[in-house]
Amino acid sequence: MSLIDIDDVTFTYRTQSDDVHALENVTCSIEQGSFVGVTGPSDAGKSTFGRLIPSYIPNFFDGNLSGTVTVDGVDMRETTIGEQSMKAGMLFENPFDQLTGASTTVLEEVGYGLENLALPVDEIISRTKWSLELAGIEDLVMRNPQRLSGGQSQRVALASILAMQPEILVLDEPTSQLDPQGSEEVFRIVSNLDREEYTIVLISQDLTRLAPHLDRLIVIDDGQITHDGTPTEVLTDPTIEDRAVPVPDPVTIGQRLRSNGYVDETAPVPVSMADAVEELQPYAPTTRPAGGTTDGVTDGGAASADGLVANDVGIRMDDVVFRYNEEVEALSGVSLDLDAGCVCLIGQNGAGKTTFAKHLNGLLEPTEGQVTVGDLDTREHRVARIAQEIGLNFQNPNDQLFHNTVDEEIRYGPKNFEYNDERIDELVEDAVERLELEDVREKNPYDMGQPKRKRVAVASVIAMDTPIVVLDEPTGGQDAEGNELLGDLVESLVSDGVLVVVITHDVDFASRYADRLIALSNGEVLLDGSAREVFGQPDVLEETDVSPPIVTQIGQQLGLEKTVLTVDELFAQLERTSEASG
Amino acid sequence: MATREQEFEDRKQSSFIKRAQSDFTTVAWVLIPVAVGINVIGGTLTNVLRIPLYLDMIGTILLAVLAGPYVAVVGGLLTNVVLSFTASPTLLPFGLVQAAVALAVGYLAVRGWFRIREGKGYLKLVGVAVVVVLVSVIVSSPIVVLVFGGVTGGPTSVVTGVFLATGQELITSVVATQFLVEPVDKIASVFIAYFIAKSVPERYRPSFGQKSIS
Amino acid sequence: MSEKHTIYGTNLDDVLEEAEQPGNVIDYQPGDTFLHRLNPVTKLVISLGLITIAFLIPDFRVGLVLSVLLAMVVVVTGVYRPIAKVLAVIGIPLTVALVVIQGLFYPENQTPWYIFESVPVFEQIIVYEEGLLFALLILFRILVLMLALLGTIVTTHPKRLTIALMEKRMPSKLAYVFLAALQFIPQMRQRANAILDAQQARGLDTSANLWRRATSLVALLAPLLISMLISTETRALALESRGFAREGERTYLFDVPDTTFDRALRWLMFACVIAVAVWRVIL
Repeated sequence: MSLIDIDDVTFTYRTQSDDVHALENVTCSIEQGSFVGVTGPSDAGKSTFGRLIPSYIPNFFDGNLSGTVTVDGVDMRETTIGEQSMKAGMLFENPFDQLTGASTTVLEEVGYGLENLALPVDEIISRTKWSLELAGIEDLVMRNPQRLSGGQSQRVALASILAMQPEILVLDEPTSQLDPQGSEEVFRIVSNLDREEYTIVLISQDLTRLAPHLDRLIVIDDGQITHDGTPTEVLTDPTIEDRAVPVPDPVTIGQRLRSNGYVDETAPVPVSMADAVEELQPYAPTTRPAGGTTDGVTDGGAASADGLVANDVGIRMDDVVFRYNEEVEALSGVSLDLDAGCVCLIGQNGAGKTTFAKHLNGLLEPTEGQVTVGDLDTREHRVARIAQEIGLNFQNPNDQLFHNTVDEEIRYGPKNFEYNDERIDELVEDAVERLELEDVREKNPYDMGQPKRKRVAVASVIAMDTPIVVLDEPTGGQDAEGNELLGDLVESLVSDGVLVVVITHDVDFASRYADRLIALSNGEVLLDGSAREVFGQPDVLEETDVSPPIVTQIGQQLGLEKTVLTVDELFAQLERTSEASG
Repeated sequence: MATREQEFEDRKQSSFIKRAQSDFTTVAWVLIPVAVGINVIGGTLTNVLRIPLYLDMIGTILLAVLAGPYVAVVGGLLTNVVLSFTASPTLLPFGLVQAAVALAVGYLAVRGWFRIREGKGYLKLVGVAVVVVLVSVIVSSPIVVLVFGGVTGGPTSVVTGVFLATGQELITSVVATQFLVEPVDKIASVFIAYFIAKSVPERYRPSFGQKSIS
Repeated sequence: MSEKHTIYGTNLDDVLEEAEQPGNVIDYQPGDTFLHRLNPVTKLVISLGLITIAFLIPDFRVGLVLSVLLAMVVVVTGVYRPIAKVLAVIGIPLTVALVVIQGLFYPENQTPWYIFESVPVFEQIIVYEEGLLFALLILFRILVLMLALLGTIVTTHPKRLTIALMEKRMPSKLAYVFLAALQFIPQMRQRANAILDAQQARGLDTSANLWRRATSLVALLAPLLISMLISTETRALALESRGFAREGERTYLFDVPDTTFDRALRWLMFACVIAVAVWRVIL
């Protein structure tokens, strides 16, 4: 018998209609000590799958469950969540919501469950220390859990679960709300856990980070397991759909090498970046270019704006300095002219990205310097007025949605501007169409998953019909399909002459869609140019903790002459090199 | 739906202890500090929007509608305990007002006063508001008189002063003041609470709240 | 329970002293005075006892004496700063309102105490003795209430208060909601600001007419409540997974001593209140 046995499980949430199943006839066994990844599109049933293991289904979520789930021989109908928590712990997506909220120090937070178990103080302390060390956060022990960053908070939550000493860890999208550093840390900790002691089920869309660590990868789509095997088997399966599973670049590269006859077809396909580089090494140029990698850049910064419809309403920032509490400087002398195309803003947390965004519509006013949007000085106009020129969409859709239907929600902005009914109808129609929300138009936004809700929030800003649109982290938590949709949206807005500013951690998105890429660091502009120019300077980017996209990094590690942004470009370069040398 | 009317039938027939136990789920417990927060933040937001009302009971009313009278009593009392810790201990006695309103609104919620199907149904909310006003005047007036001698130092004290100047008794002046000030505030609170509660999708409501609102 | 536990070099007893405060107006003031060392329940009993006495005896001199005593304790303990701040903000308007309104209009007013002559509009303004005495009575009662409770609050870490109360059989869930509410308020305030930003970016106008501003309140409070409800689901699961619903014994990381002296003080206070009550009834 396996540690976890899921036998012919079908589940329907009470609030779902009877003919819709969150999971349908799912059968799956997980062996002790294995590291299983679960992936698939949003709302496909991945979380529901995860909730079976700590007995949240059926003990917390009401609904109709058929089939059986047993963990270590115990039927989940026969246990309680409290009991089961000592066998299986679950880490959730939102780093802040899963803290108790009643602790003033991380020590109390991690010790909370142990206090409830009535363990002696000695043991509480030793277990707390042990789990803090496992999560690498001993230095946070005295901090207030409410004041941590997302990444830190997520690790405190993980430590709190580890302290209960479960043998199974279920992690439900643990990194989708974290920045790249936070994600990296969480993946590092989880992959370093002793595999003799832990069985890990990790649900994630981030296959690039996840795949190299896995023994097994399960794809869930539409409530069913569609693929189940080693990561290499699953990712190279010809039936895998791009929509459901974004195949990591190293795998794509490996497959191209095999189909083009460079590598023996039977050799295992590389999953990690390091393996891909190793396979490519023989075809790389033997001599490295003398100068920096930027020498080979073909397009200049100015060239990027060529051919774009310049907007009559642009943003001008003049030596903008922003201080809060009279001392902390969040922006220190930023001067920029933004006029057309898709401008992406990258940089580490604390680099000033959100402060920057809030300056664009006057939510924050510069301490020194000037921000003008069109001909409006942000200091002289109300936010509600500037909002007619610039639609700003914040990262968390839950901060803005409150209507009973998607349609009403999208209507809210245009109605505030008192446009006439006809125009409002048109704008709503257009926004619904662009974000593909037709079939959920009459649904409550909160009856959908967070990724789709994000699309509603974006639509509600697009419908304001502003000449400038600012999107904060639009792709966070989106699946492959959602990424594609948002990318298309940005492109279509740009071709309509809208200036689109995107604040993002997603370097792949920036690499694909940015006409201009600006890297911020410590409140200053670090780099400003085309994606190729900016990603071509990884050493400078490191100052703000940004790594170029994987394929660009592979190119750089191989010492290619020019910066590559796609797998196609990578192969084109390699072929040119091999022609030159051969 | 006919069954809606019967939703609370089992509840009405069960004993007090059973009812209270079934209301206090883990979700209800976690909701209590949230309601306290909303009570406190409501006051902050009226300042930001410069609305001349207190709106310091929205959280309690919401809790009564979403999680029932008993949970709301805990939330109401706790609000003023917490306010004693964060603003001023003079607010502590008014926890009794919150608790009384919580019981009244929770009782009305069980009776279906928050299930509204047509335009006329909003009269039910006006009814709820009237009850809330009565309950809060009846409970708060004695507190104002006995603890504060009729004068709390807020802007309403001026009104009380005017009544006293016309030769009214202390308790009459306080009650009259409350009846002048409370109705607008409480009607606004009840309606705002209803619209907020209604915008919460069913899957996120505690089981009590799935039956009490429509 | 006498052995000392440490974690990463910090004595367990000092953890709460060094912890970050939530940032409310009246936060716990770390310290090691006799007031800090008293059991929180003792402090509560004494506070409530003194308040009861002040309210039982209708003579402002009782309140005056108790206030002076309490003020001395607070000053000696060195925690008067936040207390003075609250007293100023709440106390000054209250004093002015009480003295003016009761001094002039208290229904029992008979004996003029001071007469302001030739005041414009009114010919003269008479301040009465009865009203002033009544105002003083109320003021000193409230002063006792504020000093006693504020003194308790600023010298008692909320966590210690809940542990002491749980040791007196308060349910652990009540302790949870109290601590969580204190922590949630600053957090929800931040959230409310984020929502305000997001809605302003969608055209919510904080300077529109009153009706629109009032309806805007729903646009601010609804997302706040809904997002808190969503987090409630996750938080409830996280709590249940950590033994929140478990019945029976619990251990506490922090030791809150309850000494014989504490017990003696509580009984003494109890006796005083009974004595005063009996004396009042017989009188």
